[in-house]
Amino acid sequence: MSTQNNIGKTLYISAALPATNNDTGFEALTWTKVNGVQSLPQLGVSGANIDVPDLQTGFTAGVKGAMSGNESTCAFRTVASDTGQALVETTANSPNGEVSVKLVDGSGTDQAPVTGDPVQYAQGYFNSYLENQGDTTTHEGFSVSFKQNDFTVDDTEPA
Amino acid sequence: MSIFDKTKEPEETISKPERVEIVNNNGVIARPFESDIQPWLDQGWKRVNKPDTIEVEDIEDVDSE
Repeated sequence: MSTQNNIGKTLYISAALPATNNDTGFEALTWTKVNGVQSLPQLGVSGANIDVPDLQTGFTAGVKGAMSGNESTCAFRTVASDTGQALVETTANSPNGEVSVKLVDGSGTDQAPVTGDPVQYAQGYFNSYLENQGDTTTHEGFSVSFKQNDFTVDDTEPA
Repeated sequence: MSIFDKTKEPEETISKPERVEIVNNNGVIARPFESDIQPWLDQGWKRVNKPDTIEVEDIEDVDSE
């Protein structure tokens, strides 16, 4: 299969974390669609390196260090009275910002997910709600940061 | 059984796992399967009582009066 672009993908969120970081955990959550998405969170983890120098050989080897979830920025154009966008702002401005995200490649009406469509889940927190600066070159919108706190879960939309 | 016999064979029933509704302290609803509920309860989620459910404690004890 050829490489596809990301056009048509949609974002759903739940202001809670799953009890378990797997498909059954995320599928139990209730999801709210966020309209006006311009860029999705970048899911994944990055790992640190631990240097292990050796004086005799003069060579510093590396061993695998701790992993950490990626932090990325999601951007949105303003959609008036959108429940999902209101939930993004509320969550990002809350003390802990806990959120689960669901990235959907939906084949239903208006890209809604139907059974079998590929979905991705991740948990973490929203932070740094920032409205677009107003000038002659910008439009109304905002961005938030998403810090991932566990591995991404790839799944398909359940029945 | 004749092919004209309209009596249906009993259909094999496949029972789907039942989801239960739970809520956290922020009012967020989740619906895990009954078999998966324990990790949720361990993290402070609580079962949602259905409105039509009558708790035993709510029934007036007539004999005690």
